[in-house]
Amino acid sequence: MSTSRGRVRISRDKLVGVLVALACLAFSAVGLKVNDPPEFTYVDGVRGQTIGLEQAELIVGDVEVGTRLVDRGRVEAETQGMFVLVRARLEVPGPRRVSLNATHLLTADRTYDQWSSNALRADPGFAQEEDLVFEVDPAQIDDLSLEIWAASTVQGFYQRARVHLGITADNADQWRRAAEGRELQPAVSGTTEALP
Amino acid sequence: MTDTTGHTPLADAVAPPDQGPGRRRGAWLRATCVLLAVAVYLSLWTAYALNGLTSHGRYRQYDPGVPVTAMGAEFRLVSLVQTTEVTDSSTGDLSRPPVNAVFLLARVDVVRRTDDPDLFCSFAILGPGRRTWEPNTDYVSRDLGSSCPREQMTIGATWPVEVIFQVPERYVGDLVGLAVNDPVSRAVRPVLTPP
Repeated sequence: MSTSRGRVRISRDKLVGVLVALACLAFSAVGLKVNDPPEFTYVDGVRGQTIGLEQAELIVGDVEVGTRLVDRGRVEAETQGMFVLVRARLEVPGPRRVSLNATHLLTADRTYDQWSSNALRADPGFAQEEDLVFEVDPAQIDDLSLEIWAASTVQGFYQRARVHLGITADNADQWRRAAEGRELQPAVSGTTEALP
Repeated sequence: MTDTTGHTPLADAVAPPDQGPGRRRGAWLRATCVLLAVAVYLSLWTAYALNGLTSHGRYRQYDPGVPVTAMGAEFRLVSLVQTTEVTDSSTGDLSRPPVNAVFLLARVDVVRRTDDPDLFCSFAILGPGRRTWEPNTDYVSRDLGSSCPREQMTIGATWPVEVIFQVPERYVGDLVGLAVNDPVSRAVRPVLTPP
């Protein structure tokens, strides 16, 4: 670089080098953005059937609805809406402990967080069954789906199970009527057993 | 100073740098150094990630009854007993393991050797395929504790602990031993086997 009459002169080689470096940066930034993978992939499952998830097996079982939660004969909670109880079972045949500690119910435009704070957690060779309870708006239950996954502080790429609970626009009224005044008795703590 | 070629010393100072092979060699040298630095960095990071960041631990199994030293203390597995009933020492109630599982009771003698502030009594049963089971019956009250309170442990004296595990019955015949976990270290974990 040299000065001539107060103006800064940059040699052509350096200018080309800087431009090439900038072009490389822009190219790699565009490439990273274009190839930016999603945080998770959905693993779609069917109620009552086994879903492979995070080296474990998940079975989303019975679904019950009601308006009161009862524990040993005592009403623990009552809602003007509707409680949905989903029974789920986690089996871990693999070598690592699996904890599915994040879940919610989804419709096309609603997300319902879990009313309880239960998580499915099992050590290698064990299975655990839990009752997951959600409070929902009875008017917004068409195509209600359960999503469940392993959340952690440092979250990498992960799988998220998604299971349709069988409530559709056609049968939603039946579910609403079934819930009216009905009591649900979710298990206070999950049941654990070792795989045979 | 007189210059017969007509150049002045100042003109020499602002003359364009050498464009010859020497300058090209320097550029190649710099590029090589940068590439080398990147390669060294990537190699070190990969080695660290493979060995240090994995949660799938590394273990070393010791001979039966042989004690190991870790966290400034000596750990010796006195016994590892399988049972299907554990008695709560305060209530007398019997606890049973889940279906298809058994309890494993590990008796460990811990002898504090130094004033290491990072002494923890953290154990896990190591099974086939590096499966591990941590203690999960802390709610059962027992005569012997399962922790190592440093303020109560005299250096040189034996501090017995008892740790209870639940393990699937199907793996009982293939267990490797009792792993001594050091929560603040990523070093290879010693695995004790009963005498």
